[in-house]
Amino acid sequence: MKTYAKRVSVLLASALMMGTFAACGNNNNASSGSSGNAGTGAEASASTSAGKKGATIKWMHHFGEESARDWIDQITTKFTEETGIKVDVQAVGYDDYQTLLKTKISSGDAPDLFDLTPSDLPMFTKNNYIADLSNANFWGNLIDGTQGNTATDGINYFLESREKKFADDQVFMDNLVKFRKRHDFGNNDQFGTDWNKATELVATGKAAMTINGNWAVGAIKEKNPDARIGAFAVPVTDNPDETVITSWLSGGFVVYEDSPVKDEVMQFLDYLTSKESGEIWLAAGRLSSVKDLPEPSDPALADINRYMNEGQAFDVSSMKVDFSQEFLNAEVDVFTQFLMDEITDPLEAAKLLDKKFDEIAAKQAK
Amino acid sequence: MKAKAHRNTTLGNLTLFLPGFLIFAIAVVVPFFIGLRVALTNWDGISQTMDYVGFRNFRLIAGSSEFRAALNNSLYFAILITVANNVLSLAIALGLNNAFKGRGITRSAFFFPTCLSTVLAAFIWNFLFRDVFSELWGVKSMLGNMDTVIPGIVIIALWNSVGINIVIYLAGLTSIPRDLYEAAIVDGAGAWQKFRKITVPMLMPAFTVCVTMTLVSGLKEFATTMAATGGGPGHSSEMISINIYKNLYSYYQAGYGQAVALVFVVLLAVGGGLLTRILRGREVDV
Repeated sequence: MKTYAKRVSVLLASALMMGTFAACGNNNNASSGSSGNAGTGAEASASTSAGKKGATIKWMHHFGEESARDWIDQITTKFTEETGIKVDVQAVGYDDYQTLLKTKISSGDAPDLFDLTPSDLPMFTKNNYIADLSNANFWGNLIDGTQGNTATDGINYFLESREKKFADDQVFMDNLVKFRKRHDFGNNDQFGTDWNKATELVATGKAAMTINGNWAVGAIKEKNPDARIGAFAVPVTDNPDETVITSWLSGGFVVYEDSPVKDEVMQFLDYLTSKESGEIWLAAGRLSSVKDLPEPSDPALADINRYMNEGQAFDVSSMKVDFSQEFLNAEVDVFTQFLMDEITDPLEAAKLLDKKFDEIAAKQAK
Repeated sequence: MKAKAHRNTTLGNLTLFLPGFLIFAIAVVVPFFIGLRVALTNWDGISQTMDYVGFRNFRLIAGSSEFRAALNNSLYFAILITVANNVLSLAIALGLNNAFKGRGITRSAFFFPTCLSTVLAAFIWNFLFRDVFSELWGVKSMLGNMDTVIPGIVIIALWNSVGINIVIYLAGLTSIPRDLYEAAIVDGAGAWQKFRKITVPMLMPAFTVCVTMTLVSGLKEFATTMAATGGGPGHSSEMISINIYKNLYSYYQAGYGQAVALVFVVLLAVGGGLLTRILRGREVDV
């Protein structure tokens, strides 16, 4: 239930998760490439060295959806067959992932390949735990703009740039009221509905729609393959031209800096971002940022793709204001209280959010 | 000869004592002192280095609304589970103390949920709250409401743990001399008088164990809540232990989280010690 609630609080509009292939720049932000210039990354990089046959890559992930796990099974099997390099996949639950990852790194048993959210990237970059992939070969396999949106220079811009309090922001408070009104159109027990139940409600037709991302398409189809579903961007104003789909980098793969099998991991990432891999991901009912893939046959994914192709999309990652998990949890807490009518005055909610943010900022200040 | 015998006894005692002490030292004492050091730093949990910040973390705790909310939640849960668990387990033990057909199976049935893991118990009750009760009675899940989430978690924890106290109370009840009840019957005592004047005083040692154990366990509550709600909705079921966990593993505030853990250890030691002292003072020697 908590995973679904967290995603809903971040997704205030319909959103789409791009294929998550991430890199991390070092402190030089300029080295990460710019939007629309994926070709620069490919030209600048050296070709990936062939890894040693018989080597083993440790890959730790938290993908819970069956479609994602099927994709992992297929690509790791094919990769091992072609290269002789084994991939030891360690799948953990989302809730345990962070704990296990940090424990493994601290104890010297770090996985070679794992994934991080943008809010975690600065901390791992600062401590030199992740390799700089700016010049990697695989950028050429991905659609324009992917590399630029995945760069980090280790700075938390939100803390550096917060100038306006929520209580002084009338637009924020007005949107909070709209958010509350929209909540009334939801199902009977929204906070008692977990991800599994939510997808089941849509799959069985008991719910007409769900505000979610492209990963929901596959999950709904798993429950009812005959479900006829489509997708549309959530209208946020009365002007149809302002209705756009939001996309952002919700997480990406990173390579452990001190991995003993770095060459093998880079070879695997080349394969992970290949057309073959992208097609398997697409067949699993997901959208991918691998380029030159056919249009998705699923009508819902095709709807989402159309928004992207027609330029009716906004990339949230471009804003570079990554909240840390603590700020996100504070946001969820206040929004939950507001939606449950524990707080009814938007100004009171905004002041509470300011208070929580100030406490967190004081705690995080060095 | 006597000195040699004494030496052998001491050696024997040490041989038995040392392994347990070593495990205790490695698992508890050493981490405690390492934690004490970390609590005085700004360690983020993954860096190779940490800087000393003195008592800054403790000052932040004193002013933290999140800490106060988590402490309130922990106290609310602990008091609720202590009262509910002990009242229910004593009532069941009193019933099971009488001979009736099927007593053995009934005892096993009450103890069975205790054998299940906390995660499984949370999963079962989440399903019941979310899908079964809503279908049967049209009620919303207790775990999805800020006002009922902690009582909902109490129900799960109660189902999962009441068996332990039942066993302790049953053992206490069977050890009460029967002649006390016979003498009370001769004196014309009713059921309530027998319970108040004989059963309760004679069960005080069991009360001491059960009430203290349940309260301390309730204050330390982590697994059931984490499995059932993760501290949500919002932070309405976030206990102190979950707050510590989040600071250590999600917020990159390991130094602060460790400081919260130390403050909590002190509160537990003081609270637990006080309660044990009060209850021990009421025990009756026969």
